[in-house]
Amino acid sequence: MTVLDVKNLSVEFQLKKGRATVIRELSYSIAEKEILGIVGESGCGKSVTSLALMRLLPENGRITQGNIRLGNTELLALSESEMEKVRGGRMAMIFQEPMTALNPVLKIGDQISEQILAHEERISVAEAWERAIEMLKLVGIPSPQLRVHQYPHELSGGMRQRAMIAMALSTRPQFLIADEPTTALDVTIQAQILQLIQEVQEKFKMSVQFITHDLGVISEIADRVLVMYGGLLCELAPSTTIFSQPRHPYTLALLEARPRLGKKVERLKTIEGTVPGILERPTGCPFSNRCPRALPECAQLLPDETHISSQHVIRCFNPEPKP
Amino acid sequence: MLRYIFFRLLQTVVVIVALSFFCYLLLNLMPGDPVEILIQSNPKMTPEDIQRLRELYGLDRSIWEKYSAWIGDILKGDLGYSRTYRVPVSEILLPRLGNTFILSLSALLLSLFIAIPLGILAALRVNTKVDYLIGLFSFGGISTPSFWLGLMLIIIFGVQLKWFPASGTYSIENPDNWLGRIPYLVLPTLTLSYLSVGRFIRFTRSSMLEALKNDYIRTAIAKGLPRTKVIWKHAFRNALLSLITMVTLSFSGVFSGATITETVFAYQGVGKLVYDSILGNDFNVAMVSFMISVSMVLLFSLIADLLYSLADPRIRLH
Repeated sequence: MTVLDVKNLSVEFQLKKGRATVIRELSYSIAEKEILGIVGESGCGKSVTSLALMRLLPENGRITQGNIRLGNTELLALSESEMEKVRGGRMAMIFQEPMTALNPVLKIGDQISEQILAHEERISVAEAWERAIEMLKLVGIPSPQLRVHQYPHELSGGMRQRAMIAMALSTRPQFLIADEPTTALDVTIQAQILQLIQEVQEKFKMSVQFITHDLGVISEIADRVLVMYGGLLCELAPSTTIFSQPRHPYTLALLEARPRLGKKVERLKTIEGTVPGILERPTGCPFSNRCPRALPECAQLLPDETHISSQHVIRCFNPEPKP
Repeated sequence: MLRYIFFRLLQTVVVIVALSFFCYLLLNLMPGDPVEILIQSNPKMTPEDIQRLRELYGLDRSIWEKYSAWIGDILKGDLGYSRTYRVPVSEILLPRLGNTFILSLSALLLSLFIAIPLGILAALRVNTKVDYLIGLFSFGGISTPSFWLGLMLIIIFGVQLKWFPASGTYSIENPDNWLGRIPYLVLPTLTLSYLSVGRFIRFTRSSMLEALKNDYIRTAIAKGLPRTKVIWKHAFRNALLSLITMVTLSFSGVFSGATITETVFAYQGVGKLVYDSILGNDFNVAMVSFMISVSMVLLFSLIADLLYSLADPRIRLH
C-alpha cells in the first residue's frame, strides 16, 4: 500500500533576480513501512521537497504543479486549517539542527505535550504530559520524569535530537520526514540516532522519508534511494541496486567520491565543478556541464524519466552501461 | 540569587552616593546663590546683612562641609527646607511625585497597550502597506516635538472643541476628587505616550521579526499548532525577553517627570518642579528629585535583570 505519492511536483521560488524552478516534475512514492532515502549535494532540492510536502515553503516559494497524496488525502487541496491537522498529526518532521529547532524558553514536556493536545481532543493536559514522559522514555532519554521539566539548553545535542524524535512520534504519525537528522551530531551520536529511527520505524510501522547527503547513512537505513540533482530526480532504485549497479553518471560520481575503508586510492575522486546556481541551470539536464558522459543534446534537452526495470527509474540520455 | 541581589543593592547604594556628590558639585558651580536673589528683591540690604545671611545659611562654608551636612541630614531622614516654597521638601515633593507618577504611568501603559499589538502586526505583515503605515505612525511619534504636539492638542481639544481642560492638574473646587482628575490627564497623557509609542512599536516589531526567523517557529508550525499559538506562545514569548528590559527601564522614568510636557500643560509634576527649583536656586528640592531619579534608574535596571533571568531559563544569576 502506498502511503505517500508525489506526482509531477514542481516548486518555484521568486527571487530578486527572477523566478527559479527549484523542483522539476518530481514523482516518487513511499510504501507502508518503507524508508526512502533522498540523497544529493547541497542545493539539489532535498529539503525543499520535504518542506513542500509539509506545505511549509517560505513565502517566496510556490508549488506550481503536481499532486501530493498522503494515504487518500490530496494535501494540496486542503485548507490551511485542515493542513494544520495533518502536520504533526499524520505526518511529522524532524529537523537538522536540534540546537535551534526547539524553543529555548519552553520546557521539553510543554513542547511535546502541546503537540499532543493540538491533535487529540479527548486528552487532558496531565495525560499529555504523562505521554510526553512515556515518549522520552521510548527514545532512550534517561530519567524522563526529570527531563520533561527541563529546558532545551539543559540537554546535549544528541538528547535534544532524541527529544525532537519523541515529539514527532508523540501523535503516532504514519509518515515521518527526517531532514538530515544526524548531520549536526557527533559521529558516535549519529549512529545511535540512526538506530533509534530504525527502531521506532519498526515499532510504529511508519513510512519514513530520510534526507541526507551522506551515502554511508543511506546505505544503513534506506530500503530505496532517490538521488536528486538540480531539483530533478536522477535515479530511483532499491538501495542494493543503487550501490551495486548505479546507472546514472551522477549516482556513480557520488559513490566514487566517498572515502571507503580498506581501499587504497592515491587521491579521493571528486566531481568537477559545483552545483550550478538555481538561476544558471542549463535548459537540459542540470548535470550536463559536469557529466563525463554528456552528449551534445544533454545541455539542450531534458531526458524523460525512464523505467529501466520495474523498480529502477533514471533520467538520463546516456546511462552507465549495465555491469 | 539572594546573594546577587544583595551585592547589586550594595553597588547601587555606592553609585547613588557618588552621584549625589557629583550633582551637588554641579549645582554649586551654578552662578549666584539664594542670597543674591534676596538682594534683588530687597535693594535696601547692606553688605553686613548679606554677610550675616551667608553665614546663617552656611553659604560661606566649603563644598565639603556643605555636602557632608546635607548628606548627614538626608541619612537622618531630613530632606531639608524649600527656599522658594517655604515648606519642608517632603511636603512639596510628595504630592508632585504622585502627580507625575499618575501621568507617566498612564502614558507608559497607554503607549505599551498601543505599541505591542501594532508592533506585532507590523512584524507579521512585514514589508506590506500595513507595515509601512505603522512605520509612518511610529516615526511620526519619534520625530514630533512634545511642545508642538501638546500645543496642537490644547488648541484642538481644549480651545476649539472644549472637550478637555487646556491645562492644570485638578479643579480648584474639588482637588481631592480623583475621578475629577481624569479630564486633566487626557491631553498630557496622549502627548507623552505618542512620544514613546514609536520607539516601542519599532522595538516590538524588530524583536518579533527576530523571533519569527528562528528554526523553532518552523518546528512549531510543523507540529500542526494553530497560527495564534505559534505567534503568541512561541514567537512572542521570545520577543518578550528583549521587551522586558526596555519596558522595565522605561518605568524608571515614571518618577522623574516629563519637564516639557508638564510645563506645556502647567501640570504640577516633578519635572516642572525640578526645572523651577534649579532656576530658583532651590538646591534642596533639586537634589532630592535628582536622587529619586537616579535611584529609580538603578533600581529598575536591577529589576530588569532579575525579570530577564526569570523569563529566560538560559540565564540564571549567581
